[in-house]
Amino acid sequence: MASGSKGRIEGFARWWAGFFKNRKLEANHAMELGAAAGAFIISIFFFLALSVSLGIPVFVIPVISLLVAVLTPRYVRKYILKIQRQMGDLLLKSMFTIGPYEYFSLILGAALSAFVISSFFFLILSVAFNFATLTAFLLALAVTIVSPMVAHHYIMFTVQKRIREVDVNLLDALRHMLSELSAGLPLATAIESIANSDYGMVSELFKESVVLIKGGEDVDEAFRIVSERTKSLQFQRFVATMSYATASGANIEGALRAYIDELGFTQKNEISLYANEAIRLSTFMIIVTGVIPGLLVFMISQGSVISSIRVPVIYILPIYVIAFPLVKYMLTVRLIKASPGV
Amino acid sequence: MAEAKSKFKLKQYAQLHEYLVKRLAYDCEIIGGPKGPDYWARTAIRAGLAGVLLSAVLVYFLSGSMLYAFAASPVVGFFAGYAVTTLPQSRAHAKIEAIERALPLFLSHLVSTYASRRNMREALLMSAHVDYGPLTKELVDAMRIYEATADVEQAFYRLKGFENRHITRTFDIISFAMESGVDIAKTLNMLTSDIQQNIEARDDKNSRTGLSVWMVFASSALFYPLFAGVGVTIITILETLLGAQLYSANDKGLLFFTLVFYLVVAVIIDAIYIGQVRYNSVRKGIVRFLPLMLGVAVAVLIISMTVLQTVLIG
Repeated sequence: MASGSKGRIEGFARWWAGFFKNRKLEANHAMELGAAAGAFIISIFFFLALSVSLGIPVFVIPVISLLVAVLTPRYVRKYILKIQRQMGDLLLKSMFTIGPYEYFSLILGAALSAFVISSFFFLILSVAFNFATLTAFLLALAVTIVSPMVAHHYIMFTVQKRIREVDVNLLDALRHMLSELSAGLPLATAIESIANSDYGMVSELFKESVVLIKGGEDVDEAFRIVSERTKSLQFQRFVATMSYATASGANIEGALRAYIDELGFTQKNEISLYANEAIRLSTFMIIVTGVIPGLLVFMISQGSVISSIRVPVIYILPIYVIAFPLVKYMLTVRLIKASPGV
Repeated sequence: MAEAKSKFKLKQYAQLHEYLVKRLAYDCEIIGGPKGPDYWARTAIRAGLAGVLLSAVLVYFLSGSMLYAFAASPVVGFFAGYAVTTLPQSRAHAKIEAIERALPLFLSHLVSTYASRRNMREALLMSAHVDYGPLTKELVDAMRIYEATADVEQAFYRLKGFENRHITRTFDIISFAMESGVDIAKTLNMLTSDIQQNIEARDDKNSRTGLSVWMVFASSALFYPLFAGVGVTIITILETLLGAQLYSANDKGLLFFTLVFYLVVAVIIDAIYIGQVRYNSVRKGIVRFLPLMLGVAVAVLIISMTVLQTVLIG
């Protein structure tokens, strides 16, 4: 699942990066363009809402929004550079082969795709159910605003999966390593054996350490360097345990066995914590996206008679088509993020 | 011209069939038995076509709108075909789960025999006589290949390819012991207790989250469609009683579309959610829960609308 998602993300990101590069759009320009586009869309919504209450003429709105869009990149440049650095580090540590430019290209690409697809969808609805084209366009803009966030969450979720992959495979790899050490094989051979086996990202990290060891580094130093390539806390703790055992001359096999026991216990605990999180999120899910949408239908149908409140159906459309599915999606992503992967 | 058109249709059918055969080959390989991917692919296509025809007729008779019938039939046909493809996938998942559950007992027997004889081959041959459900057949087949070829990798290739972490690791270690002759009794003991603990932790999690999961299931597949169906019908009933239009026909059409759209999206996301909670897998949620949830939700929606309308309006 994780490697499939990773491949998909990398493929899309490269495609969009190529798309922007072919149009001579540099990395920073692409990011600033994204910020400007976002600011433009948000300010259109904001000033449209204001125009209703304050009576601002509608023709002024695009002019003000354009001004906001022109000014925004200056102020967000610093923030974009910070995200660029953080995402670059995170993507590198999750063994992604794309950089921050591709990441921002993907976010922008998601927004553009969402705009095109949702415009098409809402325009068809506007023709079929006879509502204003401007409303269809505004609904498409709402989806466009939400889509970069969804794309970002999807990338973060895949990154998280990659980190979990290390945690899950580490226990099996260490058990394999222990069986080799117990059989009397030297530590370097056991490490090489893990590197050549199929333990996903753990084997990749071990492969890198084998290269360093063969290049003359000490085992503990090689692992310390390699541990900087992953965000997995379990792997970093394993490296610390190994370093301590090799530096102090302690029994490596014993230290490894103790660490394996601890890791097994931690995984069991994580499943228990995950169950608690699942119960909490399920309660939210049932109330916010099950009960409320159901009751809202009654409000719409009976409110018009009982309290003479007739909600225009067009107001219901964004709630059911965008807001409720978005809440459901966010809760599901949150649950997947909390998953121990076991 | 007509001949060219029919050829084109057959080509599309062949492409779809080929795609389905490829997609289902892995699951059918795990299940074994006489019903191969070809059978499931053909059944899925037939179910899809039947779904298109039946839903077109049903929607036309219920709504009286040709547009709704045209819009709904491809969606229903797709889901009917998809529901059939989930059957071999569900069976494959169930088999893998049964094998995983049998592992602790199998490993305990294996370790005890291995500790006394110090020979993995003999320990495996003896363990293959005990009934571990679907694992026994797989084990017997693997040992048959091993006896014929003396190739460990080839013998356990099938079991290692089950895409289950515990099964793969177990047979990785067993293969390693058979190839190198290294004593793995302690490692197998650790693995046994780890698998047992993981299964217990998962069972504990499933029992604690069971009620929440069923409530999520019920909220999107039962309560929401019920409320939506009753809510929409109440508008018609109130309009009949008042003798006035509360909403225009256009608004009612949009409202119904919005509610059905959310129903489908909610069921898809909830199936993913349930799969994640119960099996830690988004894919299993879609395979095991989506067809059932969607079927129940659509049935509840139709029943709630038609029954209420028939009882109160006639």
